Amino acid sequence: MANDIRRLRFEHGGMTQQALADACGVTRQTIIALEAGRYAPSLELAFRLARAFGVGVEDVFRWEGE
Amino acid sequence: MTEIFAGMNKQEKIAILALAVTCSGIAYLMWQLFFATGVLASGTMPEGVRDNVAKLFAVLILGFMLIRNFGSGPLEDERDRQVKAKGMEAGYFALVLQLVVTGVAVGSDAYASYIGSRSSAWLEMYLLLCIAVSVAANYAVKAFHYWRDRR
Repeated sequence: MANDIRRLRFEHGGMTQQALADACGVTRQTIIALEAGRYAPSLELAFRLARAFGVGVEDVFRWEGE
Repeated sequence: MTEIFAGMNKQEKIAILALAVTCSGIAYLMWQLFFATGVLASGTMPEGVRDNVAKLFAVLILGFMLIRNFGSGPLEDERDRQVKAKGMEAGYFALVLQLVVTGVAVGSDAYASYIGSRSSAWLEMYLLLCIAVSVAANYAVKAFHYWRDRR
């Protein structure tokens, strides 16, 4: 599972990891792990992230298949 | 260093604190059990051993309360729960491994007399050591995962 969280943060006025974490109710550490591809979020968190950017979930996450 | 510490979430700080405290406890207990020339091996608990162990617990609990109540951010989120599960797996595995090794040692001819000659105070500290090693394994795995997230 890949994601564009970092790119979307920069496109949204240079949003910081902490600001995104606060908006989604998680820790900055979790955002770091997401951006590094070390953690796949729950469905709820995926929707919260998409809502924070004002885009759909598929615009944030990509399933790269096997 | 302060930047790294400031960037840690609460669970990572707790993991590092607990790891430091349990490693100190392990070193202290191992010294008392296997190297000190006090009466622990064959007699009663030396003065102050239980007090020192209790002080380590108090440091751990106090540290946990300070980390929980001060600083911003949630105490734990979904990523923390995933890391906690991995840590608990490691802790239980370490505990089972120690119990199996101890059981085999007690049943073997080579070590049965050694363990049989130990005092109840020695056995008390040995069981506490096993628990401390399991807890340390738990928090070591947690600290590793948080460190790896930043790589």
